[in-house]
Amino acid sequence: MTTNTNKPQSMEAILGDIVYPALEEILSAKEAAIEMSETTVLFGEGAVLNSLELVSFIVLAEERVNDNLESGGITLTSEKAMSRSSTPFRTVGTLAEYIDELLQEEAAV
Amino acid sequence: MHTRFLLERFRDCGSKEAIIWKGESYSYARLLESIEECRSLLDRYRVQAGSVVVLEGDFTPGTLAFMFALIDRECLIVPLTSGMDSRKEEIYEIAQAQLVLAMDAEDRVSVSSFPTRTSHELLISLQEREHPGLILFSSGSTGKSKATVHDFTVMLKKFATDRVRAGKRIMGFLFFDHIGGINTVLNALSSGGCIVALEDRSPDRVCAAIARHKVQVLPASPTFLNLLLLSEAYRRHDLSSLELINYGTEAMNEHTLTRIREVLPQVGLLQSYGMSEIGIIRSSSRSPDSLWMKFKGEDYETRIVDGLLEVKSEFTMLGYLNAESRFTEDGWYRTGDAAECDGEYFRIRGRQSEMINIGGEKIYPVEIENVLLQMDEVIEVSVAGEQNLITGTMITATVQLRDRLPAAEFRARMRAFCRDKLPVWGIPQKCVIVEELAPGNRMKKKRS
Repeated sequence: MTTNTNKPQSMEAILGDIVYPALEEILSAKEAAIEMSETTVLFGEGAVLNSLELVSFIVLAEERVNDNLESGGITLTSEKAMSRSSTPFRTVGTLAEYIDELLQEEAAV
Repeated sequence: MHTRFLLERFRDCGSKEAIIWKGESYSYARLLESIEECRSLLDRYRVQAGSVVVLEGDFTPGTLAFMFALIDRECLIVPLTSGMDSRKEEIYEIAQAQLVLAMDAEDRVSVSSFPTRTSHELLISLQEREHPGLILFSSGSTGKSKATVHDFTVMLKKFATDRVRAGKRIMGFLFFDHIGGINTVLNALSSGGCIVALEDRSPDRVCAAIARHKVQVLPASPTFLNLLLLSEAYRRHDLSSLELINYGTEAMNEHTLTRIREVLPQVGLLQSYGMSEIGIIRSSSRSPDSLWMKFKGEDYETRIVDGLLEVKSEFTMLGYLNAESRFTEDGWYRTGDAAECDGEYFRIRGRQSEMINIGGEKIYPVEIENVLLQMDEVIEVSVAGEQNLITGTMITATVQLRDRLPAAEFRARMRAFCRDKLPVWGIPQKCVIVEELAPGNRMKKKRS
């Protein structure tokens, strides 16, 4: 059975297979233990990541999403993402919602 | 007449070996005979002084004989090797070529001529001075080939001075249509040395040729030296004849330099600095394992302006045929190499065009590669900046690993390894693991 699919994944899968493992990899390099939840702030005031860590994290998340896609794949740091009034990179929850949104669009093509 | 001193030296050398091609040895006397034959061919085709002549070949007896015959006739010479085949038409046009001499695999010539008129002012200036010229095309991996124009009489001056030099047996490793290759030819043959031609530049073939033909000097690129280490070809061949490795053409990794010193302790290592635009500059390193160097002789002046190296010398090119001048108003050539200086010594950090600016912090690919190459897991790496909307640029490392390793595991080890060796912004944000990192077509590192 192949897991390759263009069908949107559940929110649990996006969090559990994509966002948390990617974040865990970046946070594991830090000294202090940081708890992860949907409200964990990734970017801006109170963020657990600096800008370089955010870049690495987004790259990892993107790879994880695209590993499971048959199509060309999605880009997380697009002009579209950057120009939104509230950034999708603000928290774990908003990022997961944004990935969900992109996957829905990708599946609709 | 500009080659008179060379032809006299060739005569003095007589039966000494000048070229080894396909395992066969050609003496200076035979080279002189070939030059004579080339002269009659040029007569038959009524090749005049000032003609632009493309010479397609390699370090073969025929190609080199034509080169000296053409210098002697004061032609403007465009050397080409087969690596540039896809750009030939473009090159003929830019150089305003009038004649093409193409050597085949058996070293026989075929001739084609074009009814082109020379109109470029640099070419005309050489014709008016009645000086032979040299037109070199950059490999232009990132876009158009740039054509540099040199006055061949100026270039030959360096070799005309009567220095007592024992002719060495030099490997024809650098390409014939590259400033380093032309330098190899002039250096070897003006001093009664011998050029050993290669058909293939793989580490094993190069080492086999060193062993078989007792090569003493190997001019090479750092990328090739790294391949040599990886292949361990030096274990399989007798390299005891080798006295000197002359490296240049791109920034050297400290790690590669240290390893070469370990595996070939009897070999001297000499860094030279050169580019088509300024020629090859004789230099000396602060110590054998140091990347700090200074230029020898009074031929070149250097200065660092805004962190970038500038060079002034009579040996620099006259200019480009097809690009904006890179000279300052007072005649300094802007190399585009970022450099640091310490008294009279300087060290090249990397090409300005490859500089990665990440959130305002500047770092060069080779500085990062240098650290990653020290990891036991890594056998080759290429670092480049990639556009990223958060920090403007991010650093991507493409790595070839010694053993298979999960990507996440490698990334974790890399971050831990780099932590005290690179600034935080210099640790690659993205890693791509590949089976093999092939070098560029000129044995230089490709950074995409």
